[in-house]
Amino acid sequence: MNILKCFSVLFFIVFSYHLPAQVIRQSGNQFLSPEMLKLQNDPNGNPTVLWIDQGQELWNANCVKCHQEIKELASAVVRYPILKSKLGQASKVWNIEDQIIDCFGKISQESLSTEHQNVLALSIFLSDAAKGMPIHVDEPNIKKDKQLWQEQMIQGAAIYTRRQGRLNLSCTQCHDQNIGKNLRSDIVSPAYLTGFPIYRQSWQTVGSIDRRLRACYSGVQATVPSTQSSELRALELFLKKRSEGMLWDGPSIRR
Amino acid sequence: MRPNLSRRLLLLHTSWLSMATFFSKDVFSQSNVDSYSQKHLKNLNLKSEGITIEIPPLADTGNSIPMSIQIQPTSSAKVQSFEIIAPENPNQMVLRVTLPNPQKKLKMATRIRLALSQDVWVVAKLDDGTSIAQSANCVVTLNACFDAT
Amino acid sequence: METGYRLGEGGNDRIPKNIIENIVIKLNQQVLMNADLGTGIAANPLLSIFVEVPKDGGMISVEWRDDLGKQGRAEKMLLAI
Repeated sequence: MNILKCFSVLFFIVFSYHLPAQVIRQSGNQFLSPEMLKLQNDPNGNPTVLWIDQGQELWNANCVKCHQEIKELASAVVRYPILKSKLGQASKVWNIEDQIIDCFGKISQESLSTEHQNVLALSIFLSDAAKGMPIHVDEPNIKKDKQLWQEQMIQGAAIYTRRQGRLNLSCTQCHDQNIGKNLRSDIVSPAYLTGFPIYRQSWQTVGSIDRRLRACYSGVQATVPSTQSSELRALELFLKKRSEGMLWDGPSIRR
Repeated sequence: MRPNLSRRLLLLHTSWLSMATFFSKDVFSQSNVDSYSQKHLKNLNLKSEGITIEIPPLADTGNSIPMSIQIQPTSSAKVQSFEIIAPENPNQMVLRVTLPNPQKKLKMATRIRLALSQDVWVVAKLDDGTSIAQSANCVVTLNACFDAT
Repeated sequence: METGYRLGEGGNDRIPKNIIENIVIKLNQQVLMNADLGTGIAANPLLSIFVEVPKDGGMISVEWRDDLGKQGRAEKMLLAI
């Protein structure tokens, strides 16, 4: 019965975007205060430029050898997360930071975390190059992977709609049912993934979607899943698909 | 022989232990001094002409608040040094700037952190030995949700 | 940038303070401004000052030093048009 409920929510949310546009989906940038928006649009003041510059250096030093054109790789930002497998391992959902970590592993045999400054710098650099591109998450071509992808989407939808934590809140309660309302001095946004990685003022640094989702879990006082866990990837896949068609904002700042 | 820690003894030990941590609280406080307290700064009764502070009255985040200062003394004296003070911060001295060559006019901007809503003070020393001071109030709002990451 | 108040993994030890302690701005080798920063300055603060550039230009240099002893320096030639 639960599966059916999730499937129907998923069906509704995904397919409602093929209906005439009565639902206007707004990116989180439209929920920023005037000061934050001014900072976001200030090319000198926006803190993300520091990471974009760092990403550019890393790109020139490491990535150009294999990936010549930044533009064609930038489209990866709006296509990820994808289903991928490594030699002998089962397929699982990879997001853009996972892919960058894998690439770094090939070059330097290092195993970095999603919050490593180099990983974030490259992710932000790619995010900046993908500005304005529409999000387009596709299911895989291989039949076997199609089924796994569907299962991951359903799991993501299930997480999105289930109540959790001491506050006993589900994601959908705030991010669908209470958009625009105040949570103390925060204004609830619809939580579309159009601007990750973000510079969050409370972190005083940039962070990935992985970190932001974990912060959400801690916000409702639920057990925080560990970084790179499959639960987080399933949720991210669902959220990215939910943002299908929206234009990529590029690196953004948040409170 | 099994040690028998009576309740009174336990209370005694926890009380001196907690006092010890109280005194070590300011171990990294750079400048938690009376001269930087709100009361003291107000009591100095320094003239505020010549200093302009621009700071949002309601800040989105306590972590990064844009602030700009312009110091242009109305008298013929020049600015020698100034301090930005946040009396309610754990480290009250936010920025101290000295100018080896005193200037007629100084304009600068930066981003500061405020632990809670308070008056932010700028106290400037002029080269004739006098000081001027100005304050501006800033209300700080915090994030709604606890972030454990 | 660490204020010295954040707790590390496990929530027990404080991450040691590490901020930029001192910035010196020079114009043509002469010290314009000597700034001592406290933890009250934001991370990534974007310190901006207005400088009067002499008629025949000047070399602006910024030197900084942090709590761990790391130092940095950047300089640029300014021209008065």
